[in-house]
Amino acid sequence: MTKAATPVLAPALEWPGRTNEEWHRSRLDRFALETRKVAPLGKKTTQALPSDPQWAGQLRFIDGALAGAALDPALKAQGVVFGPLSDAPASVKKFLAATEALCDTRASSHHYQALEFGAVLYIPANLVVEKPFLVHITETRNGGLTVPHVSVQADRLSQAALVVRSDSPAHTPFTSHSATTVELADGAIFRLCDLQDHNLEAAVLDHSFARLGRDVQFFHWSACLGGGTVKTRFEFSLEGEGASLKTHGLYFGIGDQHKDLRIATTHRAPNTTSYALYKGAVRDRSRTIFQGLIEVSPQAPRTDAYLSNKNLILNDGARADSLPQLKIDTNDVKCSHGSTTGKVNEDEVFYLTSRGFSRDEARLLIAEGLFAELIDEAPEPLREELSRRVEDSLRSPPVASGSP
Amino acid sequence: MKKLTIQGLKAEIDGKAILHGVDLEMKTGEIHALMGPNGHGKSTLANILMGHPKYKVTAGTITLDGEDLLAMDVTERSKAGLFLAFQYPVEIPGVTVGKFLKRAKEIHMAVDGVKMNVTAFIKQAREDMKFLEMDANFINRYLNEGFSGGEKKRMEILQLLTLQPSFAMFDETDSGLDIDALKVVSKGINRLRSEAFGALIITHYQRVLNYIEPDQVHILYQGRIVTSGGTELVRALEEKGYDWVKEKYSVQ
Repeated sequence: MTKAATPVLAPALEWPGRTNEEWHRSRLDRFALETRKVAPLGKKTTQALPSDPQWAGQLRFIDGALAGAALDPALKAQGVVFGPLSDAPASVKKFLAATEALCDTRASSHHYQALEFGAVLYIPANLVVEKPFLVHITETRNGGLTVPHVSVQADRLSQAALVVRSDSPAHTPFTSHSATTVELADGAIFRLCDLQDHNLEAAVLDHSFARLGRDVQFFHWSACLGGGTVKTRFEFSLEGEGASLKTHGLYFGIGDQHKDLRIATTHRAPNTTSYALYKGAVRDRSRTIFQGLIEVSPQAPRTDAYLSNKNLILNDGARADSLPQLKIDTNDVKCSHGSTTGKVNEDEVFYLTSRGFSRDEARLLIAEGLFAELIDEAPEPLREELSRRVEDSLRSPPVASGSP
Repeated sequence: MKKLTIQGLKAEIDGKAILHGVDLEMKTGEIHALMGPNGHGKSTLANILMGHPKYKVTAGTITLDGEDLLAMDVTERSKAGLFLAFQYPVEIPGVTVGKFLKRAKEIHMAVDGVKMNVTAFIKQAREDMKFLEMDANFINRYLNEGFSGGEKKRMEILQLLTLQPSFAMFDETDSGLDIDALKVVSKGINRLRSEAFGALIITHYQRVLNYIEPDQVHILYQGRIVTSGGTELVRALEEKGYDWVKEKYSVQ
């Protein structure tokens, strides 16, 4: 995929205005999509990565260039494709064109116009891969725009898992406009774990999409840790009868972080189920917005959908908004949502302090506990790191004002 | 020997007066039972001793060995050796029993300047759990989450055995327990009975006092301790019921 593949629809699309329901809580100008330029790719020095028994395959991108790659040769022999986007088979390219056509604003189509680099994972039919794949994208270029894309296609009755990590360790301002697209054919079972850990100067925009065929089981696990300004949307389209979706997400706000996260699940076939559990914590002056939309089309009777969002406000001045929304166009459904936003429960604090914990330690323990349920379901190789990361973010001293 | 002294204690919650002048003195080595009908201030007294922020003390003093208890926050009271076994222990999702117990013990050992030996702690915790007839898997469960009523009460007693406080208040720990669970809970409390431990057993029923014999019995009625005595008071209540208290001590 190169910039040459300019979409036909794109020029007709408008930037989302201030009245756009999805966008009006976030500032588009923070992403500087029209002014920031795609930075020159880093040096291309692809190396074979040493084999790591934790992963079925690994792709390492640094500054847009493929810096390392590894794939279990046995899987390659069985038809697994795991490499840079240029390796994408025709079926994946077709799906990419389809997701591009779904863009509804220029803020989404910009990704396809500026698409710079990315990874593809293709799992052939009936193949069961036990270990997860890893795509690790690191950005160090200062002041520019980076546009990565990860495309997944799992064929009929296959089973696999992928971890996508994005980070930018240096404190450099830049914009990341990413997307992950996932197409799961009938009977496929897939787990996708998305770990975003950019620096606090970064502007992170993401518009991802998954299509679930008949009897698919898809588990999406995400942690939105980094970024100064973050706006994401993940659309899940349940198109085959019996498809089942489970989504878990954790996020927190620290310093001046602004995170506007949207998941939109659409049930388009009968007997489909979705279960969503999202938890966040905010501190300092940060703000999070969780938009959770469940839509049930008339073609989706006997849908069973559940959405839960819990937010913990750790200090005055931090803000968390929870905006669950149901649109149901058929009668025979089971749909529910629950949302709680508030400070740490004082009864829980009293209980812990009565056992000798200080108030501060009690509040932290409760906050960490909130995320434990999610971390327990994260891919095994990441759990310990995630616990530590959550703990650090909650316990670190307040981040001073001044970051974007 | 330590001494916990309550004098002329008046208290309210949400502007509603509950305690109207409570006097009580407890020493380590003694077990006191506090009985009375529901809604007359038994749980209020326990919560005030522990420092629950919802209750407001409007008059009176509480001292622990001469120190002003009411000036201490909840954490300090725990570190000073107070313990409350909750009537309804809250669930703390995501925090395992093991992590919680270890840290609580560590905090209390640090008060005495002792560093924790983790191996010894784990060994002791396993023994205590066995003693309380608890499954070893409890250590990995989230604190009180999904526990049955009986399991929650056992967890309170496990914490009691772990922390070994000087004074413990048991807020209707016996309520809702079947006879087997009651025996186990009583066994736990009796194990701590010594010159270094004092307890206030708050109960509506005399049943628990068949297993833990109190040194003194007090009846709390309309926000006051209306009478104190020995186990004969328990028998009198058993025979005559709380109506007897009502007739004898009602203040209109």
